[in-house]
Amino acid sequence: MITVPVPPMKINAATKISALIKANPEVIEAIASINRHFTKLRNPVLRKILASRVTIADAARIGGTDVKVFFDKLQQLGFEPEYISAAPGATTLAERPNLPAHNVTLDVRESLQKGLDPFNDIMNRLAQLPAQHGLLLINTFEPTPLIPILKKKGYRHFTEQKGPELFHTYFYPYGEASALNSNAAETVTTAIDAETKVETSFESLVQRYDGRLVEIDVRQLEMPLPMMTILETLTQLQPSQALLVAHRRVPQYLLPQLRERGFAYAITEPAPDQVQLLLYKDE
Amino acid sequence: MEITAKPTGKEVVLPHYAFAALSFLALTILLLFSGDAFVGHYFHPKLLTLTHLAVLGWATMIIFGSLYQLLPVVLQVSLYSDKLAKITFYFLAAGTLLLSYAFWNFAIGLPLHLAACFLVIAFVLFDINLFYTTRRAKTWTIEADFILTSGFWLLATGIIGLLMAINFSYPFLKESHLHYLKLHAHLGIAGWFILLIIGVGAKLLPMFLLTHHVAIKKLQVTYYLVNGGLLLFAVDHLFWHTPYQIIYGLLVGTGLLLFVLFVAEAYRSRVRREQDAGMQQSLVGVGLMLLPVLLLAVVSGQIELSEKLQLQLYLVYGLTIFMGFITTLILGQTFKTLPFIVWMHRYQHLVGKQTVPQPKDLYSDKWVKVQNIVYGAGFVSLLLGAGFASQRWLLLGSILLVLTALLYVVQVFRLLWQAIVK
Repeated sequence: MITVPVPPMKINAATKISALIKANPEVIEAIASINRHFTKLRNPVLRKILASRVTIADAARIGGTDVKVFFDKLQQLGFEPEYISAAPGATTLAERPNLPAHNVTLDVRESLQKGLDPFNDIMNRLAQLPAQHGLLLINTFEPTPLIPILKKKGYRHFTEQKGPELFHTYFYPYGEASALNSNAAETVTTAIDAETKVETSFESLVQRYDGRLVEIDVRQLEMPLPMMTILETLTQLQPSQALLVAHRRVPQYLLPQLRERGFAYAITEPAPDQVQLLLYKDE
Repeated sequence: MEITAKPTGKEVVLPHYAFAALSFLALTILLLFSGDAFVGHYFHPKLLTLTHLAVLGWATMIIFGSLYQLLPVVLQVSLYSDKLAKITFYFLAAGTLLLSYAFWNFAIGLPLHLAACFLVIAFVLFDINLFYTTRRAKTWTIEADFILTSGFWLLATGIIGLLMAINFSYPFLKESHLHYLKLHAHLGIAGWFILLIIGVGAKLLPMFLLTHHVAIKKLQVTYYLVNGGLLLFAVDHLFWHTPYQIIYGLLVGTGLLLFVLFVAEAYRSRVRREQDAGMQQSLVGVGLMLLPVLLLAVVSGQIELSEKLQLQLYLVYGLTIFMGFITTLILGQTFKTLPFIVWMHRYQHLVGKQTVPQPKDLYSDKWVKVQNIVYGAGFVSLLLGAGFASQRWLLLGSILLVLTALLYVVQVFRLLWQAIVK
């Protein structure tokens, strides 16, 4: 059954795929039928992560097709295309800029094939990028959804099409300083106190305390010895120092104690059952 | 993103432990005077009293209390409502006392109806608190599935109980009471206790053993086996009346076996080599979960037995559940959870400011060991007494259990006292 949106929804090249799907779920099948690049939309997980980040123009470029093909399909579903702008924010596959000499390579083709979201993987790699390095992302399409997100976090990008289904995309910081402060993985939260929370990268904080870090591992201790060890170590900490703790879980009861004692914390969970805490004096 | 959970207040949690410990003592004392009931039919007023005191005042009470403390740790969210938890406590406590009175005196009129209503209210309130707490959770775990589902079965058990209570005065149910008793009992045992023990145990046991990672595949299968078996059993029992009920028992039993294997796996890859008395007792309790499964084949009527022997085996079956793994696990886990809770309220904020004891310094592990040995001997004596209809063994068993309860109550109240004094 075809449900016609009333009044017909106006769409253009900048309309998000997620908005289309929300207006009419049959859009999924319509787009998936354009070519096999879009069959990923049938996977609910990938649909959720991709559709909200991709416009019709982006999708057309990913699929190596024209915006018009989309409009034709969508018109059959009752949408009303407006041919106003071409592709806002479209990246031109232009001349090669000065890229970092060294790159960390991450191939996400396999995980996408399996229907997994490589987003956290990408963010983690970026967060752990050594100085003067870039990230080379290998994928079957231009990673359009990722580009604006990383741009906000201070990364330039450059994409090269190496084959019919092979894209090399380089992400690298705009400059040393901006990179340090903005390459935050989304899983990292820093709480300065209960009210104000600032997102900062765990890595950048660790770097800030480079040479002034005290490290402890409480993973082999029985409750509540992890908490006791941490709180007792904190009392011996110099104000300029920070404490890096290897823990097994996010310590629920410890965190309020830290705030009370004037310590701020950052938490990262690199793997299941692995938590790292960075504790430092709140300024 | 708020990642810390506010710990539940001690005035919510601790009364549950106090009430449960006193219920256990009362239970063992009543047991001492109920030897005659153990050689008769299990639908005996005294046995009904003992069973309900065991499952409500003792087991459910302590489970409610410790869940209010544990849920924030398991799910990393605060308890939905401390106030609701307190109101639930009063309904559960009043319902338990009234129900025990009603059964012991077989006052099946108003006292029984009121008691059943109080209990159903308590379960509804508990489920509301549980539901809204789990809804706050950002990361969903298999443990949360177990705990939430167990709350649903608890309410189902309570409602069937209420219907039976009404049926005593105003008969309206089609089948005999024994028919519904079987359903009521098994939904309570497998739906509430077993699912809950698995949900909580899957989280706590690896944590106390310091096992870093155990695959949860087995738990997922367990979840479907136990719930599937129970649902089929309930539907069959109410509507189909097939002779295949043993199959549903086997489904639940297989689920239990997988959980025991899960714990065994966690035990093998533990970092902590030496176990304290509380943990030893808990591990024995997990093993004891298989005992009623073995007896199930006998009591489900697959084997021809004389009526007298059949009734005796029913009693043994009940004992292996209520006095067996449920009591064993509570006796053990009390000394893993309560010292920690008391420590948290009394000493946590002082760490790093002055020397503070550890939770294990707040009670005597040696006396817990003694308690466990006395309990073990008492439990075996009771099984022998019920199995061979021997008054002498029953008497010995109940005396040993009264001693167990006294040792337990002294330790628990010593711990509670430390949480109260400043």
